[in-house]
Parts: sequence; structure tokens; C-alpha cells
Amino acid sequence: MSIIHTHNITKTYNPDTVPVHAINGVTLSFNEGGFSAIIGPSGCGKTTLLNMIGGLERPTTGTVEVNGETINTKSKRALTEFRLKNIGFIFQAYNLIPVMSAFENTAFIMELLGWPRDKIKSRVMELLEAMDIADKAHQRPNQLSGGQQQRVAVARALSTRPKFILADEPTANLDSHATGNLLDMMLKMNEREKTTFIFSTHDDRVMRRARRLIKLDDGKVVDDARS
Amino acid sequence: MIVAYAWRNVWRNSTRSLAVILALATGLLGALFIAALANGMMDKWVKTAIDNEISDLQMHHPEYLITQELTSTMDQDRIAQYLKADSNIASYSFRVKVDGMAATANNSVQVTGLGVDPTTESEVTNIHHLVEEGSYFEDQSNFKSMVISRKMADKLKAGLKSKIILTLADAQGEIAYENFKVTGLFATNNTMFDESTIFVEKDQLARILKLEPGQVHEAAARVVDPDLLEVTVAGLNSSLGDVETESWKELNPTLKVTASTMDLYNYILVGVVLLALIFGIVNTMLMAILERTKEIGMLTALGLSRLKIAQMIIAETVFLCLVGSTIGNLLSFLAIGYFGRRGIHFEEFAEGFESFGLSAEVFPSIDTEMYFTITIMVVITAIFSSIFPIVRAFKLEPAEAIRD
Ligand SMILES: Nc1ncnc2c1ncn2[C@@H]1O[C@H](COP(=O)(O)OP(=O)(O)OP(=O)(O)O)[C@@H](O)[C@H]1O
Ligand SMILES: [Mg+2]
Repeated sequence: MSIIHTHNITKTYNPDTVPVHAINGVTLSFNEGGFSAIIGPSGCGKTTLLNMIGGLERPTTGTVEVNGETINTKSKRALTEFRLKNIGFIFQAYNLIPVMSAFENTAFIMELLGWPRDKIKSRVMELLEAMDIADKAHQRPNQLSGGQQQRVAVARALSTRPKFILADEPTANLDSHATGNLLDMMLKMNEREKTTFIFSTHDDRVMRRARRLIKLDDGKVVDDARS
Repeated sequence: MIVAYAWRNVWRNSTRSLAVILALATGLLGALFIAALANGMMDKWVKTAIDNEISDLQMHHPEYLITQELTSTMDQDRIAQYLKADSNIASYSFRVKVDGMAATANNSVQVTGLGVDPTTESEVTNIHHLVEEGSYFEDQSNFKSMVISRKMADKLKAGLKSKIILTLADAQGEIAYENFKVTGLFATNNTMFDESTIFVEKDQLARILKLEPGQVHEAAARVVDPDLLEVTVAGLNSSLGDVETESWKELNPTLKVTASTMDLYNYILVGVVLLALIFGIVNTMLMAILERTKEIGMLTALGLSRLKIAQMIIAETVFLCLVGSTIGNLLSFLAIGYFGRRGIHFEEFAEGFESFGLSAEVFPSIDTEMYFTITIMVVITAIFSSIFPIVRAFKLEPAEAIRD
């Protein structure tokens, strides 16, 4: 069943001065439980596409539907709440709050949603154990390696069991060992919790693990392969 | 959690935060100490005026207050009955009062002559404690005694045992004069009072003035409980309709107005200090927000609402300011407490002070309430200072903030 549907979306930056056509008519559907990668050369529009799916940017034309709901017409405030309740985000860097421990960072969204304390605690520990960093729960981000930090970000993104997780080049700053490791974790959670993952990457090793590869070039889908 | 986050954010750039904290602490310490000094001077001024001159309350014939006519007298025995019956009256004394001229062979000075009963007067004012040479009407010779200030003695070029002629107009409007001998020299710290007032015995002055026996111009009294002063005054006014009873506040309106506006001035002083500090606080918070552009953008992307962002910035600013004001309040409390017990001596300025009736020794003091009010003022300042940083944070677009 499709949970995300983009209908002929375009994105033009600076339409009045020097227009940049970042996305030029993309129509895509994502099914529940998928593990899809958006690939393509630098500047092809991967980040722009993910941002529009995640309600961080509005398409210039076209619509984005999540669970049958059109999100691109929502107000800024409604979008913020929508993101909080429906989407998990993992960014390339600056994912974590430096003054908070791995535990607190993982708990952040559950706290915002007002989950009861004991429920938060057990969920955080469950996730940190699954991510193999339970022993680092009380360390702050600067005491963790890059790979460990990204695993905390994955744990936080998964914490409230969102409809899907968007990850923009989550492994770009990691070495090959940490990359493989993070991918293992993401795949494990994709299987265990049936969470839908959509991520972008340039990394061949990451592409090989995806079950669907969407190739962008110049803001257009040039290949969409499922395995 | 927002609260814990905000608290930790205060200490992220601890040097920068400490600068604001120290500025606030020293600013408040300075303002509060000056306020306490002003209070101390005021208290001393009021207390001295009450102790030496006014006492807590005075009673007069209503006409006397306007015309100071010597014939506008009151019957002392009748008033004594009422004062004796009032449980809040600790002591009282009656006075005969006249303006006249004191003269020696060398000089003459315009004076206010106060005819007092030395025994009862000592229970109402403390001039008898301020006699530095001679005594307060203890000299039992045949002479009529006069007690004058040192400053008056200087003006008259007189000293102990000097002869002074007091010339005045009596109750019938006839010129009268009498010889006195100086038997005591006093000094208050109010130059104006010292240069105008002389003391003689009440019965002698009444006789010179040809007043009916038992007639006086003024009654002065001290109360047991100063907090009940107004009640006592109102009570006496209603039971003694033909006599006007007034508290020190009415007798010396300047004293009262100055004493009550003091608090206002003190708050204005603190307000000005806080106003000056707002710029530093706003600047610090703006820098803190700008430094965290990516972090705030990331959190907005995750779904942190504007309300929560505003709460976070307000909490952070309030914490920053509260740390500063708590240190400032604490230091002020200690400093004011210490000097309040020990007193501060303004020897160098003493002369100037005393001409205003102020004492050269000041005991700074402050109402505990002021610390709380200031804390509230600081919180309001902090909230006000967060507006600009909040507006700044709201302008961040999450998509732009996280792209690098
Ligand atoms: N805010 C912006 N204003 C103007 N142009 C922009 C803006 N953001 C992105 N672009 C342009 O849009 C195009 C697509 O950018 P995007 O970041 O989506 O590419 P990408 O595929 O994510 O690239 P990379 O692999 O380097 O991250 C690029 O040409 C980029 O320069
Ligand atoms: Mg990108």
C-alpha cells in the first residue's frame, strides 16, 4: 500500500532572479515497509526531493500526499506538527543536541509528544540496545564516534514509530565500517518494526543494500529499479 | 525537558554567560547598596527629627498653628487627662513657645524660645542627652537657666555662665525681657535647629509671657507602638475636638514625602540599571541563537514548535538573569547586613550632611521585600530581552538551516 505519493512536483529556487530548476516534474509512490534509496550526482535534487516529501520545503507546482492527505497546502504550523507526529528524520550531520546525552537525545521527540516517563525510558533503552550503544546512553554526542552519533539519530527517528523515516545521506560522514554497521541497523529496524525508510546516498555500498533505487538526474527520475 | 535544555544552554558558552551574570550581579549590588544608603540616611533623618525636635505627635490650639498667636493656648491639665488615658501614649510634655531675641553684650540673634518642663521633656525628646557642657536644668541657683546649642553660643559669643537677655512680646503685646544664665550647651546634628532654638524652663517663660496658669502652646508625646501612631492621633482628634493633634508626618510633610518617595527613587534606580543591562542580555542571547542556527533548524525540522522554541529562549534568558540577580541579591544582602550593623562613617562630608539634619553615621538598610520585587523586575527584564532573539529564531527556515 502506498503511503507517500508525489504528483508531478517541481521546485524552482529564486524564480524571480536567477531561477534554479532543482526538481522538474517528479511523480513517485512509496509503499509501506520499503527501503528505498534516491541516488544521483551532486546537485541532481536529492535533498530537495526529500525535503518536499518531508514537508520541510513546498513544491513550486504539484502535490505531495502522505496517507492520502495533501501536505503541501498545510500552514507552517500544521506542517511542523505533521512532521513531529509522522516523520522520522536523520540528517547528514548536526543531528544531535550537544548538551544532551544519547539517552536524552533519543527521548527528545517522545518528550515533545508528552509520553509518560517510564514508557520513554523503556523505549529508549530498547532502541539503544538494538543500535548497540546502550552502554553509551549517558554520554554526550562529543564523547561518541560519528557512527555512534548517527545510530543515536536513527534511534531517535524510530522512537515514536513514525510512518516513515527520511535520511539525507546518513552515511556521508562515516567510514566504510561504520557505514556498513549503520546500514545493518537500519535494515534490521526496517524488518523488525516495519518502518519505511527513504534515504539518499552517493555511496555504492549503500545503494547495494537498498531494495529500490531511484536515480535522479537534473531534477528528473531517470531510473526506478526494484529488487 | 525544555527547561533542562535551556539551563544547560546557559553554560554552553560559560565565559559569555558569566560576563552577563557578573554585569547583572555588580549592577544590582551597586544599585541596592546605594538604595540602602539612601534608606539609612532617611531613617536616621526621620529618627533624629523625631527624637530631637518633633517627637511622635504634637497637639496645638488649631489657631496657634496658623497665627502662632501667644493667646491661642490649651489647658494642660485637661489634655493630660486624655493623654494619660491613652494606652499607646508612652510619655508627654507641655511647652510654652515664643519667638524673640537673645542678646549678649556682643551680639543678638533671633530665636525660638521653648519653655519646657525638664523632667517630662526628657521623656519626650533627647536633647538632655546631647548636652555636652553644663547640664540640662540641674543647676539649682537663683538664676534663671537657659540651655543653648554650641552653635548659638558661638553666634552670641557666649559660653557657660554667660548672661543672656531674652526680649519678647508678651501675651498682651507688651515688650518684655528677662535675664538668663547659660547653664548647658548642647549640639544636635541639625544646624538649622541648633542655630534657632533655645531652652528655658516652662513656668518661667509662661510668667514672662503673662499666660494664665496652666496654659501651654504645645503638647508633645511619644507613643508605645509607632505602627499605631495614626490610630492614636485619630483617637485624640475625635475625643479632643478643640485641639489639633498631628503626627510627625503631618508636622513635617517634607520628611514624610521624602521618606515615602525614597522607595520609588530606589526602584527607579534599579530600573535604570536593568534597562542599561538589557542591551548586554539581548546581545548575548542573539549570539547564542545565531551560534545554534543549525541546531534550532534541525529541531524545527524534527517538529519543535515555535511555542516551544520561544519557551526555550525565554527560559534560557530568565535562567541567565536569575543567576546574575541571585548573586547580586546575595552580595547586597551580605554587604548591607554587614554595614547595616557596623555603620558607615562619612567623616569627610559630615559638615555638609549635618546642615541638612542628617547624621554623619549611616546604617544602610533595605526592606527584604525589595529583593523579591527586584527578582520579579529581573524576570520581566529577561522576558522582555528574549523578544528580539525569539523573533530571530522564528526567521530560521529549517530547510536552509540544515543545508550546509
Ligand atoms: N536554497 C537554494 N537556493 C538556490 N538553489 C538551490 C537551493 N537549494 C538547492 N539549490 C540548487 O538546487 C539543486 C539541487 O540541490 P540539492 O541540494 O537538492 O542537490 P543534491 O542532489 O542533494 O546534491 P548533493 O548530492 O550535493 O547533496 C542544486 O543545483 C542546488 O544548487
Ligand atoms: Mg544533498
